[in-house]
Amino acid sequence: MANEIVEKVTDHGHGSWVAVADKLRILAGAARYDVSCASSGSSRGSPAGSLGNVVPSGICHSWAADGRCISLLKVLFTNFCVYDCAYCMNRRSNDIERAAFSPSELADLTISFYRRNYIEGLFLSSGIIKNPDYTMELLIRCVKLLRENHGFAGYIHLKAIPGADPDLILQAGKLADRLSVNLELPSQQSLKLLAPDKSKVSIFGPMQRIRDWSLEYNPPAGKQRLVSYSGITALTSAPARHQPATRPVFVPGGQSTQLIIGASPEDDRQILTLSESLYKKMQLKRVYYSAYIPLNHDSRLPATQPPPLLREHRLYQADWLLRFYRFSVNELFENGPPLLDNDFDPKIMWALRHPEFFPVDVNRADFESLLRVPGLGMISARRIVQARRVGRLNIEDLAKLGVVMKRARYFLEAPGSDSGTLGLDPARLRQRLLAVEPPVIKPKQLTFEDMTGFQPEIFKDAVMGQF
Amino acid sequence: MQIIRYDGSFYGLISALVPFLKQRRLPDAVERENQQQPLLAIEEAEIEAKGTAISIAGGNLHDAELFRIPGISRETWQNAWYAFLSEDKNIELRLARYLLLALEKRGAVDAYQTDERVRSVHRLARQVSVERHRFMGLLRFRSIGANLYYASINSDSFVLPVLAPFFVRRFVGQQWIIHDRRREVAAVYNLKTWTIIERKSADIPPDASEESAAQHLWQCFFDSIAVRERLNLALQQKCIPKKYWHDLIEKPGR
Repeated sequence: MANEIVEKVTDHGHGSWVAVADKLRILAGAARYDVSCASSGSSRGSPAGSLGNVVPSGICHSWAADGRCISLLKVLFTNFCVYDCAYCMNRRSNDIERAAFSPSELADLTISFYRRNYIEGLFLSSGIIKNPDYTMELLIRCVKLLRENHGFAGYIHLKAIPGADPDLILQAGKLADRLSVNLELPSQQSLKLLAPDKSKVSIFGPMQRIRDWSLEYNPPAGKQRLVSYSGITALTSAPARHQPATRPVFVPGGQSTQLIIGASPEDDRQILTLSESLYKKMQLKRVYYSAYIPLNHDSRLPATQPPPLLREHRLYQADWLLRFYRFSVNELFENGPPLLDNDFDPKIMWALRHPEFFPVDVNRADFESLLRVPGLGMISARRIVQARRVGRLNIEDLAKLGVVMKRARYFLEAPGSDSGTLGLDPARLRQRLLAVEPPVIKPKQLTFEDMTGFQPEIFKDAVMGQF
Repeated sequence: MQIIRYDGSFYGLISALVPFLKQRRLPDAVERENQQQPLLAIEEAEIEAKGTAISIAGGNLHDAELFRIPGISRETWQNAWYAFLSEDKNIELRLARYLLLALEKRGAVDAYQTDERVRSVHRLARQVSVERHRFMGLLRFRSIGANLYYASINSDSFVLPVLAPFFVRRFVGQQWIIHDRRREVAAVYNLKTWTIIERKSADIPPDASEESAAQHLWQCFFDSIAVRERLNLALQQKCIPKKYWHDLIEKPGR
């Protein structure tokens, strides 16, 4: 049965829309546990004759019933899989509905959605059908149809199938805006136990190659030029009248990965240490964390429990501190246990462990120190730096700048600040802060749009890592 | 009493204000002719299909001679233009005060974020910018003919002049109409130029035949992609406020 359908995939069959709807239901359902949905980090104009463009900030087109942003048409090409990973719904030993798109079906569907402004583009992953090479070829075929036949210049995120031939990954990277290889589990031992068909080498190998190709194909920041690939002209930096180049780009939006949280015993410090090294050594754009949801009964997995959504949320917050607030993992966890604080976000956790750093002087402190103040975000810190150039700031001025003072007041010093709130010992400070902490936290992936006063240009800086 | 009158367009307002600004003073009142009309900017809304903006509405404030005033930076004009589109009822005088301060501060006005004259304009500009960004994602086109698409919105601010250029860049090869029902106007793009015309709020065209299949597929995707174990309708509603639900194809809230 499986083989019959597998064979069907390879022809260019095109089902009725009712049949496509059925596949979509199954294959979007099968892709929903993949967390990444970002359409950011890349930029492309829309030359004559093509369809669509990419904006660096990314755009959310809707939000699903779980509150997560929908930016891309996120589907599996097929949920047939030859692997048997313990945590995965699509593993070979599960008895579930299976389906597969044909490349042209999926390309047409993407275009139909894109033209109606439902999506920014396509996020395409897949179960392993026959073998990794065959699977990767099918994904490439679909994306080629989009780029070459439809002139599609929108966003494409492709999954690099572990174990696929490097030449295929290279080809995929020239067509896609972003590639990702999912780590799935935060350590080699856990991988061995829960995903015996995957290995550290089959994951890190492609990751390293993608990094190296990125460096080879993409000009260094600031010297980006108009480049074209597959008949589409791509713009990798701000629009300008650049000379056309002949070099193809390679994943202008970089690569990302995903980790399942709570299916294996690693602590927060181990997980974040891994992320930090992925950002530094693999030059990843994003590491996504996915609270483990028990989908299979398997003795190797923890017993049924609610997904650790709060832990996932804290990891995203800490990840944010690593990428944008210039914290290191060592700093975050020094003087304390290797776990993030359930009661407070990681920045407050750090502040409580480092009373010597505070108070920070609003009128004198450098930008980096301002960023370390709980309650001050990138935008508030920027506003402070800008506004104090034209006059000394006092406490009332901070409120006018839109700084939320309920936490910051314990850490910021300015003319008029209440000395009773500054210099409290950590235990009392903890009590005070607990009183202002919102009782229910709605766990979610942080996006820039959650920040007050969303400004696309700041977002762009952040995504591109240019501070 | 110095009362100035203008035609309702941004260009018109600035033309009327400039003589006052040059003398470093403010008018006592600003009146808009034709109060019934939305803040139309038809002649400004022209843009070349290739994407080189020739007008304010296209975002290229530098090109207009009127806007070359030493001391008023591009960023300041951009803030003024966005704030203007908020249709705040005192917007004309707010802008006059803001621009006058800009002249006094010689280009550094946007750093005076604790000054009420600057704050209020920044706040309004941000409001428009946020709503524009929302519609970049939440606007839904329906196919109403061969390569012809229609979208209907009901925006708080007059985002059309700053929203349309985004869709020109994105869908350069398809013809479309974006209908602002609240103001009874529509942005129309014909593969060459776009413009803003009047259009009754009841004037909603019928869908093309293939449209219902596409909509059904989208609803199907929308429902399947949610992780039911993580149901969070409150968060969903925070991200898509209810006022936008009417024009969506998908059905949030379940």
